[in-house]
Amino acid sequence: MNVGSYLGAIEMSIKADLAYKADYLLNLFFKFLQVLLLIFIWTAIYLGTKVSSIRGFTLPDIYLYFLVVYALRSLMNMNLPYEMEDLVLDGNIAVNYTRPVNFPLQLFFMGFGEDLLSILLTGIPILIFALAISHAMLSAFSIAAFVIEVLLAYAIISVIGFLIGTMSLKFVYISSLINITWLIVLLLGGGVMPLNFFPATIQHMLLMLPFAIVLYVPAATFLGTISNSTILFSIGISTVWLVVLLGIATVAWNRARKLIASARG
Amino acid sequence: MGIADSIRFYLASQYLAWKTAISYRFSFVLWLIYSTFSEIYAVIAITVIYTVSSGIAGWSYYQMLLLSAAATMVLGAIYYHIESRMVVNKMRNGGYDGLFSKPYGLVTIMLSTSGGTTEISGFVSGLLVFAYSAIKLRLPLESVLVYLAVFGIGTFALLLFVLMLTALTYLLFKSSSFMNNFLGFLSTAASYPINIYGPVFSLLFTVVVPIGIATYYPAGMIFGKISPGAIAIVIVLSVLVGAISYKLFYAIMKHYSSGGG
Repeated sequence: MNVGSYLGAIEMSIKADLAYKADYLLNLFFKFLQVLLLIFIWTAIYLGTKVSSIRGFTLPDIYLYFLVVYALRSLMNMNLPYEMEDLVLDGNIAVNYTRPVNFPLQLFFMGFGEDLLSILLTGIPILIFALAISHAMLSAFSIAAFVIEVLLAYAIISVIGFLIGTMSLKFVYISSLINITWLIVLLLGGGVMPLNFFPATIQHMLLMLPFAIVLYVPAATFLGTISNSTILFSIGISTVWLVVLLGIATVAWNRARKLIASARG
Repeated sequence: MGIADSIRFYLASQYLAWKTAISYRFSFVLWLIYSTFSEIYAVIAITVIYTVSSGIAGWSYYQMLLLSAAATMVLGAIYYHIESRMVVNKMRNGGYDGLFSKPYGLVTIMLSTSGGTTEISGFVSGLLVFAYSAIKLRLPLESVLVYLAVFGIGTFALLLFVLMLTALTYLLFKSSSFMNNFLGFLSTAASYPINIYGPVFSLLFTVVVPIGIATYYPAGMIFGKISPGAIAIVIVLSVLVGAISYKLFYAIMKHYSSGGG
């Protein structure tokens, strides 16, 4: 395994991101504004309902929830399929594919380079801030579960992104598909509201899907509003999903890469 | 060139845009689906909110649905005419160089040739939810017509504002990312009553970033939350926003030089 080339891919992505500093900072700013809007909206809902708690979430819990979701969103990006679409559009996918490195892994590390910057500049500082203002005393189990959940979520998002990215080899333009997928992940993963706000049956179904682990489960683990058994169940089911998705991605890639070969003639 | 010629140019440009969009069928269908998604998204979010709580004080479930549908319609109409990402890229690549030499006004050229065709489905899905909510609320036809008139004026003013801001963004950043994020932010903000964002943001969404003039105020009017006098002010404000944006757009475009040289 050529580790140097993968590190190079990370470095290249970070440099590319930093080359457009204004863009990068504006993106972060607007992500923050989106969270601020959600906080305003939920404040109005709590004040309108005149209750101190909705489905176990008090208003301060909701503020913290969206803060943690904001931190998590900074690392759950959909960079990988965009990278693949760009490579297909400018024809560089054939050049990259012929290099003596594992192409899917190289792509993963390119995406990781971009995410690493977000994790360091946004994700970790916000999590520390959330921890400080919540006065939460996280148990060793919660910390371990949170880390495992975030790693699983990152792997699942990357594999889903890769799967969608492979479709660019057949359909070329896949931005719409990437956007649809991201909206689904946000809605079904707890980016709009905690999943326990959904009716019980739907909530149970959502916990069976691979999206719950992306935002809701880690955020709820952080806040302590989810039971240990649900945490363990989510980790288990997400691991199964990861294996299944990896299998599908391998099959999809083996089929899709033949299209690169035919494009090269 | 008169108005009739401008309309002919607009229609011919739309025909060309549709032909181009349909040539990538898979992508076209997916974009159509994606555009309807924001409305589906809003309906689910509002339904869940009103299931677990009483929602936003003073706004019933169907009133909120109508407001969010209006926001989807506004954004759909804007994206249909000005897809900011495409505009900035086109300016950067010199894509307008040939078009700007045509004998039409710059605004006509931009609004005719810069839109996202598939955004029509966003507008239509918003319209369907709007009609459904209006029926459920038993709104009299004349109220709906008055609403649509105020909404139309507000939307056109906002369209000119977005056009002006897109040109300014190109001048300042040469990047489309700001407008993408900005419109996404606007879409969320407009789906809820702007008074919930506090006095500062309410003022911001009325005067500085006038999304309220196309969504919140017309809705407030038909639900009796805003007096007819206030609506008259909103109409005047819409005309002012439109006129100022129009003038500013031309002032900004004097400094325009395409990436094509």
